Amino acid sequence: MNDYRECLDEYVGTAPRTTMDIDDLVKRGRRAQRGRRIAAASGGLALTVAAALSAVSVLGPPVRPPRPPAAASAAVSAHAAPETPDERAQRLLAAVKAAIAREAPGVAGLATLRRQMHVCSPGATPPARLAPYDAATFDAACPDDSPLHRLRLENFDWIGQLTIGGVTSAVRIHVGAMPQDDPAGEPELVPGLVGKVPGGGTGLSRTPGVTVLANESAVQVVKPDGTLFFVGHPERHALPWTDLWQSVGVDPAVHL
Amino acid sequence: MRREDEPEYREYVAARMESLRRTAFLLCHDWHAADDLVSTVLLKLYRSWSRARGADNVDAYVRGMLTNAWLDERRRPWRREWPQAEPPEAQAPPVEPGDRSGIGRLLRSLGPRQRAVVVLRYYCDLSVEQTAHLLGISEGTVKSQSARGLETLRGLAVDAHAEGRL
Repeated sequence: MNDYRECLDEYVGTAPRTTMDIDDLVKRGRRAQRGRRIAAASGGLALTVAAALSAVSVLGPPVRPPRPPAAASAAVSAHAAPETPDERAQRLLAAVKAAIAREAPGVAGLATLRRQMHVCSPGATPPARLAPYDAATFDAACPDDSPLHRLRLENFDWIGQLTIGGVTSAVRIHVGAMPQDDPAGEPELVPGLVGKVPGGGTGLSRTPGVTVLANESAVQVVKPDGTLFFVGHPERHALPWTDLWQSVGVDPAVHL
Repeated sequence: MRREDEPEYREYVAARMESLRRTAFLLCHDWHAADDLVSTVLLKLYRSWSRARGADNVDAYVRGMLTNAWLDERRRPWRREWPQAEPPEAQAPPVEPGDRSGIGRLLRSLGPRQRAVVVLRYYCDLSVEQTAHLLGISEGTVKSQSARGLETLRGLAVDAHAEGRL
């Protein structure tokens, strides 16, 4: 076993000087801790407000005008019926399209956005690829015990080609659930995107609890509800319109 | 983390940073990515210091965090569905100047989980039981993955010898 260790150690060689600094790590740790506490406090406050509003709505103000029975039952049934994955995909695509159209009024090519799904090839590199969505093969596209199979109902992807301001580019849009052990509020958990927000920002959006990260090839937005919005070029080329994608990502309608 | 615990955290990080960077390099094969990974893990460690310091073996615990963070990062959407970015002809990594034994190339040919098992078992000297516990897999899986990993390394080494590359 020591032979292996020596061999590996020799391969690693002499480590170059690192830019990591313990003081900086501690500062970032404190900042993230503060952010989590504020988020938790805000969440608690929001729950309290929600509970209070619910109580008011249940008790009902005495002067509240009665809702017509048909409309009331329709509203109840609309809330009671859980959203199917297909309905969610349609809602998300509509929200994304609306946000893009709002941010870039002259955009062309929104109709080219096609839903994708992961098709696994165990043992291959990479182990999965995106293919156009096919309802008939969707459930069997990845092995039952694979993470991608488990995630298939809460991850949605689209690929299309958009033209904005005379520039045409392919884009790949992803809306899904942020991995559980990588909570929002810690931009440093995403190597490669840290500190690269266009304009030299800190990586934190102005919207409380929302993290926006970007570099020359990708934009990522993480929301407090765990929604991960990600846009990149399907072939990892430079991604145009990064400011646009940040605005689309923080749109409140774009959520799981 | 409480402020009074920070000196202990600082001391630990100062003592272990280089070792963690080296382990991360074996997983990432890139010093920039390795530093990003270590930075990520040390921030996570800041958050969970009270739990980590209570572990039987803090070093093993932190290496587990490191390996799992790397595996998690590889599962992210932007890492898993870029087939066009890595055409088959580009998959055979070039021999690096510092990779005289070719071990880096051989290591990179292993799958992520196998590579993690090999690094934890044979570089970090963790037991089968510890490795299984840290990666959340069974001991049988660790044994089979490390055996397959070593078999792959040996096989590739033999091929490389035959071709005169080692």
